Amino acid sequence: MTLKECARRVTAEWIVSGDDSIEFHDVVVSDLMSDVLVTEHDDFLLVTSLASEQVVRTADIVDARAILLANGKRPQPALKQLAVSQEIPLLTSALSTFDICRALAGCKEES
Amino acid sequence: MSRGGPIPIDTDAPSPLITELIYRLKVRDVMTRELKTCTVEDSIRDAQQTMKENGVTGIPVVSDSRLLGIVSMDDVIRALEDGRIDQPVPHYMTRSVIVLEDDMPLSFGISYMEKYRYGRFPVLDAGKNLVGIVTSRDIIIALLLEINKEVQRFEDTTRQAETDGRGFRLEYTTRKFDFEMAGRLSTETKKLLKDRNLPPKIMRRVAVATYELEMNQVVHSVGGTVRVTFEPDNHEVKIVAQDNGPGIENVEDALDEGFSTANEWIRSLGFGAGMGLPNTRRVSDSFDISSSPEGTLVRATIHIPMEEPDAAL
Repeated sequence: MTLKECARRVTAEWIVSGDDSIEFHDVVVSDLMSDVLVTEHDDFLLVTSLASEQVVRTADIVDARAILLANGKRPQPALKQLAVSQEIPLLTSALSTFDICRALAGCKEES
Repeated sequence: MSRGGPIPIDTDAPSPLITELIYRLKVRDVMTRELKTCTVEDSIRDAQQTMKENGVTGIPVVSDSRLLGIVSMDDVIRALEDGRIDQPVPHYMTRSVIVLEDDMPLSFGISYMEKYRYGRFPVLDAGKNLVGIVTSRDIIIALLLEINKEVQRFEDTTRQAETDGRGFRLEYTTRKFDFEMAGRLSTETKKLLKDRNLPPKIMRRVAVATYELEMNQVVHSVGGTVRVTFEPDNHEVKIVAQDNGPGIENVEDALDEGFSTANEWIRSLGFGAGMGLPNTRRVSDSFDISSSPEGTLVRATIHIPMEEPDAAL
């Protein structure tokens, strides 16, 4: 699924823009960055309702392609700034984490 | 730290850094040099107009560069009440003006603000010439700029880097609960490894290990250092994390996945799941840890496979 398609499905707002043709083949959903660091996936979308700059640090370390904040979370300024400097697209959606998962379910099969 | 004890912050005296700062800075370093003034020939109305145009609430009255007094909003209001706004300035100006000298330490300026409660203090040089004016806004701005510089200087000392051909050594100092700083080492390390074309999987393992170790120090220790050394000739990346206590009570427990002593607050930041050390061990080729109340030392090594064309130089 492309990031553009994902953004459409969850009616996301772009906070840090980037290449919307990025393809990802998996989604990792967690509010616990320790758990994200353990994943073996590559090229995935990180969905979280944590809005601290550690989200970008973690995403960068595990090569997440983009970050989607759930529950209408607004990023802290430091988070936004770090996402810009790390060139990681950052989006936010008013949907709950559960509804985001429902909206993105099937992305694996499609890709 | 015991719960019933006193708060370990001295609220009576400012930090040594701030004390040093307000003595090092002179009044001339913070004062406004572009002066709006009036002369004894001007009327109170003229003075009020100058204040209005320049957005100030008081201006010095001068003859050449000699200070004769100050006209403030209060003086303007008194003249208005008397219906004598067109009278010359000397009728209403304040003559006994408290002044600062330009080579006084800023601490004088601050204590004058406190002592005299005026909004502004004219500044004279050694020859008694009016050279500037100081308001609390000037002091606040100057202090903020200086503190900013000091913080920058302090942060710079928390990072040490050396390069040796392709190899490098990078060390960051961590501080208890300084979550903003944590992760800087891993971010920079990953970038350096990327510049050197290391395999993505290796970069990720190194970044995960350094990040977990940085985070561990921030969450659990009083602070310490994490050092990454890339030795291309030995085909390995070494990570050494050393903190200054309080140590891990039971190292075996800490290596169990899910075991955590972190509190709810740390968990709300997305950490403290008890995965730090197990995860570091998982991504490392060799891992050892020793801990005492004086501190914890973790050494982790990640080998760079020889068959990787880029890694073999």
